[in-house]
Amino acid sequence: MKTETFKILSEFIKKRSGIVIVEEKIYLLESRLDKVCGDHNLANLDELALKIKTSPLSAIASDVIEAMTTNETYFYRDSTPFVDFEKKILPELIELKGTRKAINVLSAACSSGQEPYTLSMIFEENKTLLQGWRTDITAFDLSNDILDIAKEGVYTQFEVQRGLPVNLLVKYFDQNNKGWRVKDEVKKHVTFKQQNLLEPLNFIQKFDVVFLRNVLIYFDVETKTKILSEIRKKLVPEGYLFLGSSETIIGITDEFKAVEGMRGIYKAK
Amino acid sequence: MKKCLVVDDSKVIRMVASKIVTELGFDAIEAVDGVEAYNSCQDSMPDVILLDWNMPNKNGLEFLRDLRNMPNGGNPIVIFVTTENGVDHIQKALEAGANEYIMKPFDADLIRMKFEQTGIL
Repeated sequence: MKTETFKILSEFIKKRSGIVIVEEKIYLLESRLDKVCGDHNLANLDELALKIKTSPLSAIASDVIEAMTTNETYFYRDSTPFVDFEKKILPELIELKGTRKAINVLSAACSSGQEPYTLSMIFEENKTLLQGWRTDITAFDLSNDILDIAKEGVYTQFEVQRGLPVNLLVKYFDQNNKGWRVKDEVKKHVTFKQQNLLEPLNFIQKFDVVFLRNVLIYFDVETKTKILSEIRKKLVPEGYLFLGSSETIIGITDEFKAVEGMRGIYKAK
Repeated sequence: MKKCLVVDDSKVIRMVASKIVTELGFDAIEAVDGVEAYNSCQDSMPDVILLDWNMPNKNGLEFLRDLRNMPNGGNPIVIFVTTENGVDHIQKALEAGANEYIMKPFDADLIRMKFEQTGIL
C-alpha cells in the first residue's frame, strides 16, 4: 500500500469514526476494505483512497466506515463478564433498588446484537427473581446496516455455536430456513438505536450498567477520555461499566474505580 | 492427564478431532462406533467424549443412553459433534444426557470454547 493511500484512508476513518489505524495495523485496512473495492469495481486500495479523497460524502465513503466499524462479536463473549453480571451485579441491583423495580442497561457499539441478546437471555433466565421488574436494554451502533441485522436477530449456525450454550440455543431461538431466530421473549427487552459513540449520547434515561466491551481499543487516549466522560454522564451514581478484559481506564480517566475481583468491571465514582 | 474419547466412523474426523484435543492437553482415545465406544468406557471411563450421531452398529444417541446407565457413566462430559443440525436432534441429545452439541463443520476454536463452557478445560 502506498504511503499516501494509508494516510488518506487512516485520516478519513479517524475523522469520521474516531478509530485510529496505526501503521502496524495496515492488514486491518486490507482485510476489511478489499470487499468494498470489489463492490465498487475498484482495482485496489489506492483507487479507493482516491475516490475517498475526491468524494468524502459518497456511498463508497459510507461503505468504508461501515466496513471498519463492524466488529466481531458472539454470544456470551469471554463468558466471565456475563457470569459476573448475572451472579454478582444483578442480585446487588435488585437489593439496592428496592421498590424502584427497573433496571436499565446500555450495550454500546453492539454490532450485530449478540451482546444485548445475551443480556436479555440472562434477564429471561432470572425472570422469577425479576417478576414485576422492568428490564430494558438499549443497544446502539454507528452502522445502520449492522443494526438491521441485529434487529432481525437471525444468526447462522456458525454464529450461534460461538459461545452460546446449546440449552439456551434451543430455549431462546427458533430454527428456520435462514438460520436461528431470536425468540420474541428475548427481543422484547432490547431497543436498538443508531448512535455515534463520538457524539453526545442521545438517551433520556440513565443506565445502571453500561457494556462498552472491546471498543476503546480502537481509539486514541484523547478520544477514549471523551467517550468515557460521556458514558459517565449517562450512568447512575455508582453505576457499573463493563470494558473488555484487556482494556483499562488507567491513565485515561479518574471518573471510575476498578471493582475488586471483577476484571474489566468499573464503578462510577 | 485427562482423557478424551473421540467416537466417529470417519477416520479423518477422528484424526482431526484427536489432534485438536491432544493440543488442548488431553490424552485422545478413538472408537469407530457406539459399540467400540461402550467397550472403551467399560475399560476406562474418559473425562470427555466427542460423539458422532450417525454410525453403524450403534449410533451416538443409543450409545449415550447406554453410557448414562453405566456405573460412573454420568461422569463424562458428552459433546455431540454431528451433521445433524435440526432442533429436534439437539433436543433428543439433551434429553439423553448430552452436555453440549457441535454442528459440523468444527474447528479447534469451537472445540476449545465448548470444553471451556462445560468446565472440562
